[in-house]
Amino acid sequence: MLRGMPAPVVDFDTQPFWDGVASEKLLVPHCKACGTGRWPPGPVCDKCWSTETEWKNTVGPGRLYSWVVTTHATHPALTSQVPYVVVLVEFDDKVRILGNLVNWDGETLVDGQELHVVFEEREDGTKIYNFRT
Amino acid sequence: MTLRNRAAIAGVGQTLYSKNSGKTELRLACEAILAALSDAGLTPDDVDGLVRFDMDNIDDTALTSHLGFRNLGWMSQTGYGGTGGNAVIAHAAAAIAGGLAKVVVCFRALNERSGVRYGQAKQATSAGGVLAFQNPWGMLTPAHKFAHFARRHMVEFGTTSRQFGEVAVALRRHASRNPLAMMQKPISLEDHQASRMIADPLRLFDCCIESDGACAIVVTSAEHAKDLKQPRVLIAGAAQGSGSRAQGIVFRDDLARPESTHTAADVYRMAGLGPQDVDAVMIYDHFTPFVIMSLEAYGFCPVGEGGRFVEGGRIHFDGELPVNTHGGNHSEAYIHGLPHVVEATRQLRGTSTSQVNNAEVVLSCSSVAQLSAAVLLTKG
Repeated sequence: MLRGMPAPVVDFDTQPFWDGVASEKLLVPHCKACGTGRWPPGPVCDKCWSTETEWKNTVGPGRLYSWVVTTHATHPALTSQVPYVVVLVEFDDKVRILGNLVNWDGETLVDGQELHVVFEEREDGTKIYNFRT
Repeated sequence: MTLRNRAAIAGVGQTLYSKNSGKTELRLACEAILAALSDAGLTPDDVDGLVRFDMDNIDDTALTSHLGFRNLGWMSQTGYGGTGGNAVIAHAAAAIAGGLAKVVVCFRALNERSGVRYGQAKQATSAGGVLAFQNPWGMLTPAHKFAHFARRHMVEFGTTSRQFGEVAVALRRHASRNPLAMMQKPISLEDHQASRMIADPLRLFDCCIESDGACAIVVTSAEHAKDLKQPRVLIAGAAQGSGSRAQGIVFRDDLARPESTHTAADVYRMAGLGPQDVDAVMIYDHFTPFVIMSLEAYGFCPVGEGGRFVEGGRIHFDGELPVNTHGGNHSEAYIHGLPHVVEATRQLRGTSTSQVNNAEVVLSCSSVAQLSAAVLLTKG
């Protein structure tokens, strides 16, 4: 878990998701009308424009879609935390969620490899989701 | 109805580009606008239209307060970010074709190196909207985002860091011939490969520079441009595009394939031209992989083959398809893509420092990952 990063702002569109994270669940919004998963959470389905949302628990594992290893700190809080890996992880419903790979030890990452969801505590005591190999 | 050849670029101007201008952005904007008007043989009293970047700190009212602009009538602005460089020209051409204005000034002014640096993260304590799903994990700057596009291009098509390096070497070579450029020391492929990682797969020499400076362009009707000081440069086509999820761009469906194919189709259709007609291309080069992806999006090679396409000097000014003959955001200056239109104009006037022989059609295009915009310019 990266320290000193901005805290996510919870709003009416994302409250159910963050409530899920607080109880260590990844509740991904899906359209009630057409079933399409969407990410990040938002008020409308961008496929059929329904505003009816169903929050589905996503347990994974997901598959690695993209990864970036940041070596250059662009924020004072990150100076002692580089390198860190940001991954995009794809789940069965095609939704891709971004997080850090918490147990990266410098090994080569491979497109499509399985990653598991983990939950950690932020400095402020709130929960946040991440990924591990 | 079409914009084709209804409007023309009549004047271009810029300030010095530097790491620390020692001037306000307002002063930079005024200097660039006066230079562009003088280039065209016009004064602020001739201006009746103004297009700004929505990210610019200088607004219309500030310019009217300091430059006069006694006849200013029509005003517009465009986003997002680097697409503005071409989008402002599209707006200006539309205003002229629609009879809303006769002489339109487009500008961009920023102290982006000495002031707020895009390459440094804002030290915010919270992140809302789409940023709530990016920033807490340290995805804070443009390099962090755009590196994911580079990664997918590498994964899906086998594109290599050395091929990104081919782009960097070409752009720096062009800058080394351009006295305005901030980075004039040539680099080799080995220099590129030895440059430090910023956000793997992006190295330092894959990233554009940060700059202070301003740039301005005067657009008028094709008829009026005939009577002005410089050889006119016709705006044969102009287009803007978006694609879905232009905000949380790393959540797009496909990071390896360009979103700007619609913009490309629109600009070519309007101009009645195709990639085979283009003599040089100015590409918004915030990061080197986007030169490769733009070459694919705008039809210069099939999707996935851009990496091989840029090898062997093909995109050098003396190669088959010259790209960014001024050095681009990478090595000339980062003024949000407007200098690309200035350079396209120079090529068509025959005054580039890396002049392409018999340049008659130049494409300037921007961004394949957020919004996109493009203009096709031809020798008047």
